[in-house]
Amino acid sequence: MKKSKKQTGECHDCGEAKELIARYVGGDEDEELARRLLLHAQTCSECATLLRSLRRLVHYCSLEPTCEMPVTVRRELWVTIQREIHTRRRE
Amino acid sequence: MPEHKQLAVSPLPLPVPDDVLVRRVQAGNTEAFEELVRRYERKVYNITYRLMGNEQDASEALQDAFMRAFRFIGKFQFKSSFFTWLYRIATNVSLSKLRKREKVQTVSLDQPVNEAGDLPFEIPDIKYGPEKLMKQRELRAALQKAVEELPEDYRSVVVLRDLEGLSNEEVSKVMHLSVAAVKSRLHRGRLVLREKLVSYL
Repeated sequence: MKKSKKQTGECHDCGEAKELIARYVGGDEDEELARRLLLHAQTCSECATLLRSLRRLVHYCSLEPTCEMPVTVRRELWVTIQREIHTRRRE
Repeated sequence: MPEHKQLAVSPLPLPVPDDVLVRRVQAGNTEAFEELVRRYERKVYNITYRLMGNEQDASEALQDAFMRAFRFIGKFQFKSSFFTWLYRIATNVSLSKLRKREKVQTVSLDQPVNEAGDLPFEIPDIKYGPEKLMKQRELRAALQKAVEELPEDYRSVVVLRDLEGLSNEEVSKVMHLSVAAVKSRLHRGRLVLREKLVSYL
């Protein structure tokens, strides 16, 4: 992978790494891809941070609990459903 | 001495598959539709809530989604699974309502910008105790807010994939997109979320 790091440790030209990160976090389980990406992340703080934060984001999202459906919402839904069914039966 | 046979537990009946219920509804059995509603009402509410961002709008979208499903289930041709068809209706209904809502909520150009709303929350780095619980609550609120602020194209994909746990393939069927387009929108959406939630990540 092309490396063109600046003195700051930021990685401005690692378009390929960004693409690999997208694929990796997106669920692409290619071992070679993961190996190249992790190798690059060891030498590039910006890509390492991006990778870490995206993985955490996906993890947090996966932990997000199911919203409880309020009783009133469910009641209104069933009133609507019953009205619709009643209308169908009359037709 | 009791016989062991008496202790045998009869197996629970298997749930009726969605496709069978849909065929029953198509044949005029409205109880089958009620079963489908019971089966998916919470899931669909989650989608509408994540997309709409408040209970009242989510409730309206939920009702509209099931009403449309009931009205058009006769045209369902089993080319996809019932739930992807239903999720697609719920997503489209929600996005349609969002567009209408955004048109109504016009913002004056002279209105001062709330800078705090555009900045990530400052959360102390505390790992244990009540503070952790508070941080989790703040994270959930911040996540929901950040999702609501996502552009429409990204929002649906992020909600279905990351929050509702559908696979890329399932999202592609719900959204009528290629898997590659789903992955692309998902990544862009995640990058936007990351910017907004940077202090948590």
